[in-house]
Amino acid sequence: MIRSVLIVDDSRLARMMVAGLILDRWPNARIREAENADQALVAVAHETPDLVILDHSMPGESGLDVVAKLRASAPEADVALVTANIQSSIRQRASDAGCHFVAKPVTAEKIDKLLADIGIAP
Amino acid sequence: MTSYFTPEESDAFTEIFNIGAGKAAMALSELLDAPIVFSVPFCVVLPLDEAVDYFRRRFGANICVVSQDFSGPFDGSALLMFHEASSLALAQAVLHSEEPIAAITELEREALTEIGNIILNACLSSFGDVLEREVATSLPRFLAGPSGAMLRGARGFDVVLVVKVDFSVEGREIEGYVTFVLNVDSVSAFRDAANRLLGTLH
Repeated sequence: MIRSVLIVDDSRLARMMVAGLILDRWPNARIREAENADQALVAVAHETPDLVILDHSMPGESGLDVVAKLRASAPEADVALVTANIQSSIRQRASDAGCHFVAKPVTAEKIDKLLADIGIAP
Repeated sequence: MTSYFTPEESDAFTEIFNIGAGKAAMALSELLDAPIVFSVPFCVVLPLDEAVDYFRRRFGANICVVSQDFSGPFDGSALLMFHEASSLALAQAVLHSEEPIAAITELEREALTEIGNIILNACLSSFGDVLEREVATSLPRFLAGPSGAMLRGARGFDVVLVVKVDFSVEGREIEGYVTFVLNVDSVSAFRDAANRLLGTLH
């Protein structure tokens, strides 16, 4: 059971798509959204989510730039890096940072795989 | 492309772009939940002025563009270019809208920008992986206007590597062009990278 998800993406459409997929599985999940790294850090400091779904390419700090700060603030939260930049080097950096990796576009199958990898079943 | 590259280099380029187009097709198919057919890429290098004429002939006055700057092994701008009609049809498909979309509002701009982000990154990621060098990309930008202004505004580079990729979305005729605007040094770096790739295959 997942209770709280923070979706961090500068694209409103991308946030809407991910939120819809999460709510399809857990209609009672608490979804919060952030448009950039600064907003994400404020949101995490206010309340620790179970899962952070974090876009890599954003104005200001990138997803990979902010992972360490998110982890410092919420060490128990799982973090999934979401990006259209599917280069092997980015996947490796995500892995090195302890993040799950989800290639954009985010689909139902990818969300299910992510949740299975985290050990959460719908 | 023969005036800038040998046939063997052209073949290597086409293969690199073909890999990128394949990744883009898969990503777009996931996004739209529909089968996508991408053509084999057609590549040509043109001086900027000729490229402006080339796109003016094909697109007429106005086009829609998603652009992303890139840097690393070579610097430039990647552009995904559509006729306005194709842009509206694509936005309708990604938003799963029943009704045809008559104009591009904020949500349609976001949808098209996200499509551009996915398609251009699929192509640029394939460069990085094939050439074993990381390609850094900027945030995508959506622009609409005259094709000449779009190309000339792309950081003032002097050569355009046009990669024409046609794709169709389950019965909808949507034609798009993926285009890379480079300077001469970056074209040389591109050629060197292709030759290194060819060297590994021999």
